[in-house]
Amino acid sequence: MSLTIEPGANGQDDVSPWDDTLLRVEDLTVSFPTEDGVVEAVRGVSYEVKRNEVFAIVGESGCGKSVSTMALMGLLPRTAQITGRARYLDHDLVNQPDRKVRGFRGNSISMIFQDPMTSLNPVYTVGRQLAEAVLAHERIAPKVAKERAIEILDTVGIPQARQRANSYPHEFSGGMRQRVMIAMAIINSPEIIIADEPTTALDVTVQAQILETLLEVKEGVGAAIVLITHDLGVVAGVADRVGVMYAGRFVEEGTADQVFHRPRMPYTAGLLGSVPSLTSDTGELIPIQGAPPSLIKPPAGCKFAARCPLVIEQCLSSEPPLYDTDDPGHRSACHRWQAVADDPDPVQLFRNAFRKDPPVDAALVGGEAGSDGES
Amino acid sequence: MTTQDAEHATVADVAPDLVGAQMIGLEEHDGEFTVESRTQWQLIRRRFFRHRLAMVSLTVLVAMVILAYVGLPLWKYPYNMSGTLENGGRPTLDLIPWLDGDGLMLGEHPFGQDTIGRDYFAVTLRGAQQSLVIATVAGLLATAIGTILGALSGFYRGVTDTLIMRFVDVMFTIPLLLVAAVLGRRFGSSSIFILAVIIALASWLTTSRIIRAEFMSLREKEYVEAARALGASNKRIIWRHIMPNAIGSIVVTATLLISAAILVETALSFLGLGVGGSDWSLGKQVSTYQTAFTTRPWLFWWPGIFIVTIALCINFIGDGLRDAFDPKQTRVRQ
Amino acid sequence: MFFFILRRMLVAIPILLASSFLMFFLVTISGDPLADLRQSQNPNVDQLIAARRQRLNLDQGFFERYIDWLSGIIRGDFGQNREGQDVSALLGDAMTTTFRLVILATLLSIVIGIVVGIVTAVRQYSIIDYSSTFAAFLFFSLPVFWVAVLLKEFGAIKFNDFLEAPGLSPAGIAILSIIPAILAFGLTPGARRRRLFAGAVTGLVFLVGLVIIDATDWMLNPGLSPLVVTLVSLAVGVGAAALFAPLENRRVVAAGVVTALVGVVGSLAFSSWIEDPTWTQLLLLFVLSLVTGAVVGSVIGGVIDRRAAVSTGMWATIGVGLVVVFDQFISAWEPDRTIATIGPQTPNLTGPFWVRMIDYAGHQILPSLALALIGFATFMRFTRASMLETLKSDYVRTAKAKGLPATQVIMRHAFRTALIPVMTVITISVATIIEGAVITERVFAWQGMGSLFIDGLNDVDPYPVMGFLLVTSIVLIFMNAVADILYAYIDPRIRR
Repeated sequence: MSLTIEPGANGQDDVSPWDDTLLRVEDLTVSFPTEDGVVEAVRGVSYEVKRNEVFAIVGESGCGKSVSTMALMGLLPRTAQITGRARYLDHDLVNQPDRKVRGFRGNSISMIFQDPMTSLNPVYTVGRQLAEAVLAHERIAPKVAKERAIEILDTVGIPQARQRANSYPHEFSGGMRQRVMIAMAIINSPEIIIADEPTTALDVTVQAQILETLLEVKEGVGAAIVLITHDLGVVAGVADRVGVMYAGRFVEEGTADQVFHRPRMPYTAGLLGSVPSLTSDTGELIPIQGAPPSLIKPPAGCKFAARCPLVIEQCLSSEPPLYDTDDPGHRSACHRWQAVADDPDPVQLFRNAFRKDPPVDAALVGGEAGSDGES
Repeated sequence: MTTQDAEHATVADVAPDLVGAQMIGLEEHDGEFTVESRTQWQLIRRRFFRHRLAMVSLTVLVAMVILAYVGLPLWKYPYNMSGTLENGGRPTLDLIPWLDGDGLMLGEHPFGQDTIGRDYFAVTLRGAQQSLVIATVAGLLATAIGTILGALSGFYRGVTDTLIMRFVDVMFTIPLLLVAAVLGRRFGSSSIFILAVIIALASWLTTSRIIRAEFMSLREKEYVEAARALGASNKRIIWRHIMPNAIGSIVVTATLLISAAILVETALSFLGLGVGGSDWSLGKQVSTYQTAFTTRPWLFWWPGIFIVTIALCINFIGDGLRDAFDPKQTRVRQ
Repeated sequence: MFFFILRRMLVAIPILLASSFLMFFLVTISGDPLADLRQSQNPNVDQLIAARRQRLNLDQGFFERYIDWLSGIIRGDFGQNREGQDVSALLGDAMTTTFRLVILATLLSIVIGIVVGIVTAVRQYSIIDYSSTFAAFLFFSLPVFWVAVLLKEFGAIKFNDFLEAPGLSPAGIAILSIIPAILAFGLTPGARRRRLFAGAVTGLVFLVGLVIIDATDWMLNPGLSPLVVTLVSLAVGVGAAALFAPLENRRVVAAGVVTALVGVVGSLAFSSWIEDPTWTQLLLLFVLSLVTGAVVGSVIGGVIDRRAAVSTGMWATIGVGLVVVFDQFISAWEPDRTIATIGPQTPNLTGPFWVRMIDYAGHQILPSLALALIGFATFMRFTRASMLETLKSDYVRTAKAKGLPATQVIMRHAFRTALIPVMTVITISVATIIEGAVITERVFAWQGMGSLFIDGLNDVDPYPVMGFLLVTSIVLIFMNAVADILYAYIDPRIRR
C-alpha cells in the first residue's frame, strides 16, 4: 500500500499536480439558509485523494464532514449553496448540470452511507437494486446485470448469494445490509469509494468484519477510499492519511502516524484523550469541555478557542490558516502548534485545563469576546 | 389490520411525531450561543406568528367573528324583519368604486334584500353566527370524542384498543354524512346544539385514529419509560408526559374538524336537515336560494363566499399550526 | 399473496354485518314510517296503515325485522319501498347511474391528484407548488353543492352561450397563453434562463395556436387534420420513451416513434371501425394496439432495452389511441347546447357511437368535475406530503448516488414508496365522493342512488335508504380491501 506524503505541500500545488491524484477538492464551502440564518456547514475545505490510498476525515458529528462529501456527489438538497472546486481527474464535480456529473456517480465515485437500515429501498429486491446500479451506467441486458449482482454479493461475503439476491432488504440483518451497500458501491469498479461512517450504525462485533470486507474489496477493485468517521480506532487501523475537521474546516492534516502520535493541534490531542484505547498511560478519559460553536454567525478567530487550554489573545481575533509544521506534510490550523509540539504529552493539556478553571465558563467568556470582536 | 395501516398516512400528514428534543431547534446548532434559547412554546408561537398566510387568515377570521357578533346588533336592520324591496333587492355595496365613480359605500342594503325584503346583510351575519357556533361546537366535541377514544386505545392497547378500533372500522364503512342526515331527520332542527352534536358524532373517526397512533408512538418513548421506571402513575404519564407532546396533533385536527363541520352543516342543510324554523345558517341560506341563482345571484353568492372564506381561513390557520408544531416541516424558503 | 387476499376478504364479513346492523338501527330510530298516514283524512286509512305495516314488516320487533331483512339480502331481495316497488330493481338502475359518476370522479381525482402531488413535491416552493397548494386548500373549503351550482351556471349555461358564437378576445388569448407559459416556467428544471426560455416558447406556441383557432373558426367545426394527428402522435411516442429511458437511448426513442407511426397507420386502416365502433370493436382495437406496441417495442428494443422499449411501445399506443379518440370525439361535436345540466344523458338519443359518447360526456363532465375537486385535493396533499418525505429518505439518496437519472429516482424510488400511505386514503376519499355524489346528483337532476336515498329519507321509507347504505358500505369495504391488497403488493414487508 503506497503511503503518499505530499512533498512540501502548503497550498501551492505547482509540483506536478496530476501524478496520482484522483480527487482534488479546493476551498469547498457549503452553506444552508435556515430560518435562524445561514448555516456555514463547510467553510473552505481543500484536500486531495490519491490513487489507492485511504484518506480519513475525522471529526465530531455536525462538523461538516459528511456534508463536504455529499457536495461532491451532488446529493445535497437544492437549498445548499456550494462554492469552490472539486475535480475528479479533470472533470469538475460541483455546480455542474446533473447530466454531466451523473455518469461519475456510482460509477467512478461511489458512496457507502451510515445507516444500512434505511439506505436500501424497502420495496425492491436487493438483486434488483444492485442490477439497477449497473444498468445506470452500462448498456447490457438486465439478465447480465443480475448475474453481476449475484457475483458481487458473493464477493462481499453474502452466503447463498443467488437466493439472497431475490430477498428484500428487511430480510437482511444490519451487517448484511451494509455488505449489500458495499456491493453496490463496488459493482461498477469505482476509483474512489466514499464511505460515510460505514460502521457507526452496526454492532461492535460486526464493525470489524465490515471494515475488513471494505478493505478487501477496495484492494480487489483498486479503489481509493475516503473514510468519514468519528471513530478514531477505525482510522488508526486503516487510514494512510488523516484530515481532522472542526466547525467546517480542516484543522489538522497529515499521515495517520503523524496525527495520532505527534498531534500539532490541541483539538486532535483532545480527541485522542477522549478515546479509551489510545490514551497513553492510565487509561483515564479526559473529555473536551464545551460544545462546538454554532455555524450560524460563528465567532471570529479560531473556532476552537472557547474550548482550548492553550488559548491566547491572537486566537480570538484571527482564524489560523493551515500552517506547515515541523513535520513534513503535517499541517495544523493552530497559532500555537509549536506549543503543542513542545509538549511531551499534549493529551494531558485538557486535564490541566479542567483542573485550573472550569472551561464551561471559559467557553462562554471566549464566545462572547469572540462575537464582540467580530462586529 | 386496516387501522394500523391507515394511520401512518394520516399522522404523517396531519402531525408527525413531536419529540420534545427536536422542538429545541435544528439539530445542527443546539449548542449555539448567538441566539438565546427558547422554550418549546415560545418556539411554536414564534413559528406560528411567522406563518404569513396563517396570520392573514387569523385576522380575517377574527374580523368576521366580530362582524357577526358585534356588527349584527349594531346594524340598523334585524335579520328577521321583512320590508319593501328597493331596486329589486339589489346589493348597494360598492366595492369597486372606480367603475362607476360613486365611491366606496355600504348603502342601504349592502348585500341586497331577499325575496320578502329582509335585509340580506343582517340575514348573512345571523347565518354566520349560527354556522360559527355549530362548527365550533361540533369541531371541539368531535375532537374530544376522537381524542378520548384514541388516547384510551393507544395508551391501554389490548382489549380496549381492539374494541374501540373495530368499532371505528365499522363506522368507517358507513357514509357518515348520510348517517348524520338520518339522525338529523329525527333529532335535528330543534336546536343548533343538537345539530352540532350530530355533526360531531359523524366526524370524530379520523381524529381517533390519529390520536391513537400518536399515543402509541409516544408511550414507547424513552422519557415515558423513564417516568414509568420512576413509578409515575398512568394518569401522571398521560397528562405530564404524553399530552404535552400530543397537543400539536390535537390542536391541528381540531381546526381541520371545525372547517369540515362548516361544510357538513352546509351539506345537511342542502339535504333539508339543517337549522330549522325561521332561523338561518349560512348553509341554509345557500341551499334555500340555489334556485334564485339566475334571478337574484347575490342571495347565493354572499353566504357562499362567507362559507368559503371561513373554511379557508380555518384551514390555513390549521396549516400554520401544523408548521409551528412540527419543525421538521418548516423548511427554508428561497 | 393469495392467502393474504382471502384473509382480507374474510375480515370484511363481520365488519359488514356489524355496520349493516348499526345502520338498520339508525334508520329505524330515524322516524315513523306511518307518520303521514296517521294524519291522513282518507276514509280507508286503517286499511292503508295495515297494508303498509305488513309490507314494511312493522309488526315485528326490531331484531326480527333485521334478521328478516338480512335473510332477504342474502337471497338478493332488498325489500320493498312504501309503494310496494322492489328496492332491488330500483337500486339496480340507480347504481349504474351513480357508479358511472363516482368511478369517473374517483379515477380523475386519483390520477390528477397524484400527478400534481408528485410535481409539486419535486418542485417544492415553485409557482406550481404554491398555486396547486392554494387550489387544494380552496377545494377543501368549498361546499360541494355550491360548486355544483356554480359549475352548472358557468360551466354549462355560460359556456354553451360562448360556444354558440365562439370568439376569443385579445385579452382572452393573452391569458390563455400566459397561464401555460407560467406552468412551463414552473415545471422546467435547471437554470433560470432555461426556464424562462421554456416558458416563452410555450407561451408563443399557445399564442400562435389560439390565434389560428380563432381565425379559422375551429371551434365551430373542430377536428384534427391527419397531419396534426401524426405530429401529436410522434410527440406522444417520444414522450413515452422519455418516461422509461433517457432520451440519449436511441433504441427506446425509436420504439416510441415507430409505434406512434404504426398506430397512426393502423388508425387509418381501421377507420371504418373507428368512425362508428361498437364497444366490442373498441375493446378489440385497444387490445390489438397494446399487442402491436409490445411487439414493436420488443423487436426494436433487442435484448438490452427490451423492457423499456416494450413499455414505451405500449404507452405510446395508448397515447396515440387517445389522440385518435379525441379527434373522433371533437369531430362529433355539434355547436349545440353541449354541456348538459339535467340528467345523465339525453333521453332516447340515437346516432353514431361518437355522437352518443359526446352526449354522455357532456352530461358527465360537470358533476364529475364537482366531485373530483374534493378527491383531487385529498390525493394531491397526501401525495405531496408523502413524496416530500420519501424524497428526503436515505434510499432515495442511495438511488441518486448510484447515478440513476432523476426521472428514475423520482418514479421508481421516491414515488413507489410514497404511494403506500396514499393507498390508505382511497377509502376515505371514496366515502366523501359518494356522499358528494348524493348532493351533486340532486343539483344536476340525476335519478340515481342519491335521489333514492334522499326521497327515502324524506318519506321515512326505510328499505330504499337501507339499500343505499348497504351498497355504499359494500363499496367502501371493497375499496378498503383493494387498498390493503395494493398496499401489500407495493410493500413486501406486509406481504405474509
